[in-house]
Amino acid sequence: MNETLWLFAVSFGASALGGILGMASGIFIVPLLTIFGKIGFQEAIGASLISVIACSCAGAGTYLKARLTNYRLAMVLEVSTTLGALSGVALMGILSEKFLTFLFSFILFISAFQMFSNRRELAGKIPPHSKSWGSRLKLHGSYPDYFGKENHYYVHNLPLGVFLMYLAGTLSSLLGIGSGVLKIPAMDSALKLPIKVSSATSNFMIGVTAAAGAAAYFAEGKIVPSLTGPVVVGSVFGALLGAKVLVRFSSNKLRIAFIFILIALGIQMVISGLEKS
Amino acid sequence: MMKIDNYLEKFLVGSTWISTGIVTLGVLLSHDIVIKVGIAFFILIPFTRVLGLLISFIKTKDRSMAIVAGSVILIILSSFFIGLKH
Repeated sequence: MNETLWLFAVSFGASALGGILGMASGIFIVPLLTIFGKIGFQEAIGASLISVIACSCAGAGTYLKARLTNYRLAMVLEVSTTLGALSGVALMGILSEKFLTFLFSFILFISAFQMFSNRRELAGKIPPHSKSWGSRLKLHGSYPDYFGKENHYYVHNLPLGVFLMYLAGTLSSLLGIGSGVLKIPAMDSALKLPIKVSSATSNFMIGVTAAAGAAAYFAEGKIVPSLTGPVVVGSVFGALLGAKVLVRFSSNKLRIAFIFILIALGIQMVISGLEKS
Repeated sequence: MMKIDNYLEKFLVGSTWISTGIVTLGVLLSHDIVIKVGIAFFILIPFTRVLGLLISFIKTKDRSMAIVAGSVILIILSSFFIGLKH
């Protein structure tokens, strides 16, 4: 029972804190479980993937209500993220745990850097060519602002976005994370979506990407119920609390604290990787 | 479009709570099978969401998007069967 409470508390804390900054919890849950819980890498990834699905589904409602999610675009990008997830599942048996630990620490450092540098609005106001993929598949859209006025936006550079999403999907199933670290730059910079739309659409896609990886882990019997259960319950309630706090507090000081946490976890993962040799 | 947004929102929120309820019950009873059922429900939520969109694309005769949604379903199913073979 003590272990169950510990798993619940860790996941609750990771998701609540992640939620405050609008991040998925996987990036905190996997290092915490492997470093402090001494849980195997693959078991931690399996549990984390289910918690990523849970948080994505729980959070998607708010964005859909606000009409910020571009589900047509999400569907197109999900082809490459799920293919990436499938590749990740195949690579899992080839890559060593040591390599994955180092890769995870690299992602933690990149996430810290992203959190340090603020996102810039790069949304394209000029419509792309009528023969572009975004136009052909009718992926351009609009969302209402605070006053209810419709803001139109256009989807650019779809092939580049699709390629980056493939990499994001691979990382997701290899490391048990939502891969916002790749999805956000892909959507902001390559596809040139408004920040609100890219956050909402990314959140919407994360669940499907994680489900593609989790389905293989589940079928292989790599998802341990006694570990995953408390992690998922803690993550859902933590994410709900985090989202409520996010609305009330300025997250600037927390952001700096989080940068240090991410760097500390990254260093800890490097040490853990070195110990595996 | 707004109608689909509403359906998706209700489906995602409702099914997340049902799955969370099942997993919580399993954790409280320390029953692995109940937790596994809840986990399977969680994996099925995004899959069902894609299936729902596939049906809506077919209904609106949006052929290219129906192919896209069908591909996503096939990839998720392949992932499951690859896992079974290991």
